Amino acid sequence: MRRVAIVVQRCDESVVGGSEALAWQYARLLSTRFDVEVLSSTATDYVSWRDELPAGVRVRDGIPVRRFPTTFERGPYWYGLHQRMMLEVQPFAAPRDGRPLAWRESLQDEYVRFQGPCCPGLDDWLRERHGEYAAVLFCTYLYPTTYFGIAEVPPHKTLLVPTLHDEPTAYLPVFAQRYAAHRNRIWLTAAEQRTAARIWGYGDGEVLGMAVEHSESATPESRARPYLLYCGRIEAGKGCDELVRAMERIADRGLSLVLTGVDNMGLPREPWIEFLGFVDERRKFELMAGATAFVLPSQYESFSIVTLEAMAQRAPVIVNGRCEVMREHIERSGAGFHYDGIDDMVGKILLAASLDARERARIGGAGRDYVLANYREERVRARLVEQVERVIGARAE
Amino acid sequence: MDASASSLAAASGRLRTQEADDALLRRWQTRSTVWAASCDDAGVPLLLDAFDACLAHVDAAARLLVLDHGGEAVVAEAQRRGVGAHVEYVRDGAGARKAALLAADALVACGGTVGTVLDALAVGTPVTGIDAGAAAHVAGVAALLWRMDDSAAGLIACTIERLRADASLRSLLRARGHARVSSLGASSRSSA
Repeated sequence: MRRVAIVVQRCDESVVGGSEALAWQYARLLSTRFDVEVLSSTATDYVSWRDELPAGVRVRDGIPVRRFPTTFERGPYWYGLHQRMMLEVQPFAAPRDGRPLAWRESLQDEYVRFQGPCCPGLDDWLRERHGEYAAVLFCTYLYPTTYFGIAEVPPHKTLLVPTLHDEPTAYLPVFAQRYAAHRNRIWLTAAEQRTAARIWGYGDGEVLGMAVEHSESATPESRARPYLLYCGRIEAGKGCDELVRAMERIADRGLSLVLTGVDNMGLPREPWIEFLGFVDERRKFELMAGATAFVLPSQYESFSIVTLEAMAQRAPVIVNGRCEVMREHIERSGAGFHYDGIDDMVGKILLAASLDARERARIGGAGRDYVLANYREERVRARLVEQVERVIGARAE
Repeated sequence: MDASASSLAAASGRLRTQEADDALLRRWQTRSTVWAASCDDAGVPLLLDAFDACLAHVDAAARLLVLDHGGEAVVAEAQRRGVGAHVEYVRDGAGARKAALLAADALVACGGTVGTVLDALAVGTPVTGIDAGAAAHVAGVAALLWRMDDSAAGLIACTIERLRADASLRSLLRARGHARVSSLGASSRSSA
C-alpha cells in the first residue's frame, strides 16, 4: 500500500484541539486506502510545547504515530517577539508606503520557530525520508511543524490543510510566501478560502471540510433549569470571558451556563455556572441535544466541528458573527444566530431562550439537514481520497 | 575545508534554536537599511566604499553591524571617513551575532569567516559580497557574489537595495541557503 504521512503539531488521545482532531480524522479516513503514518511532536501542551511524550513510534488505533522531540519550551523571548509583532505586523499597523517591514523574513522565521513546537528532527526526517511517502499532508499553517516541514518536501507531493483564520499572525508575509508554491490545498469552508485570498493573495484548492458525527442522541439531557452549552477549551482567547460577562447580565433570567472541556481561564464560582470537565462523546451529545442553545463565542475558528456536532443534535446555535466562517455556517444553514458584540450576544441568548417548541424544532432541523448534506463521513472520505490520489498522480513540474 | 565546513554548518544549524539578544534586536531592528558584515583586513576598504555608496545614494539612515575580528578595523576606518555613527562592532556572543543577522537586510562578506556566512544562511539572512576566499566558496549559489574589481562596491550597495525590494529574490536565496546548510550539516551527521 502507498504510504501517506500526515504532519500535525500534536497527536495524542489526551489532546483537545480542532486541527489535531482534524488531522486524526483524516488519518483515520485515509487509513482504509493508504498506509498512513502521523508525524508529530512530543508535546501535549499547546502553550509551553513541553517535551512530554516519548519520542519514537507508537501505534494509536492501528495507525503509527512517529513523534519527534521539541527542543525548547516557549518562553519570555517569544512573548517579547509576539508583543512587538502584534503592534507592528497587524494590518492596521503595517506600513503602506512600499518600504519593507522592520521584520525581515529571518526574524519572522524566528517568531514561528520560537512559538513552538520546534522539532528539528521532524524537519530532518522529512528532508531525508520524504521519498518514502507518496504524499505528505500538513495540518495547520501556523506551527513550525508545517512551516518548516513543508519546505523539506517537493511541492507536488504536499497537501496543505491551513485551517486559516483572520488572526494577526496570518499577516506575517512569510506564511504567504512559503505556502504559495504548495498549491494542493484543502480548505475547511468557503469562508476560509476567501480569507486566504484576502490575506495571502491566493485561495486555490478544494473546500472539503471535516466529517461530523451525526448519530442522534437517544437520551437528550433533561433539566429543570434551561441551559446554554459550551464545549471545548475554556479561555479568553476563545471568547469565554465575554460569554461569562454576557451571562452575568442575565443571571436573573433562570438560565444556566454549562461548560465541558478544560478550564484554562479560571471560571468564576457562580450558581448559574456548571463546569463538567471532560465528558465522553455520548454525554456530550446528550448535553447538546437537551440544550436551549449551543454557544461558540470564539472569533478565530476555521471550521468548529463542535458547533456542527451541536447542529447535528438539533441544538440551535449562537456564534460570534465576527468570525466569517461561523457566520457563514449560520447563514447557509439557518441553524441559529450570530451576534456582533456583547450587547447583541445577550440579545441573541434571550431570543434563543424564548423560542417556542415549534420554532426550536424548525431551527434544530435546519442545522441537522445542513450537517447531513455537507459533512457525512462517507462524503468527506471520498473527496479526501480523491485529493490524495490527485497529489500522488501528479508529477514535479 | 569540507569537513570543517560541515561541522560549522552543523553549529550554524544549532544557532537557529538559540535565542537572539532581544535588547540588541530591538535596537537594531528598523525599517531603514541594515547591513551585517564579515570581512578580513583586505576587505575593509571595499566594505566601507560599498557602505558609503549606500549612505550617499540609497539610505542616509543606513546602519552597518560588523561581526568577527575585522570589526575594530572597520569602526576605526569608518570614524576616519566620518561615518562612524552608522557603524557598530558586534562583539562575540551568539545572541548578539544572531540579533545582528536577524535585523539585517543582508550579510556582506568581504573575505570574512566561513562560520558567519553559514550562520547567515542558517537563519535565513541573504548573503552578498565578494567572490573570494573560503567564505564565498562555502556559500556557493546561495549568495550573490561579485568579482573584486572597481565596480564591486557599487554592485554590493545595489544588490542590497534590490534585495530590500524583491521578496522573490530573498525567498530564492533563503531556500538555497537553507538547503546549503542542511546538506553540509547532513554530511557532518553522517560522518560522525
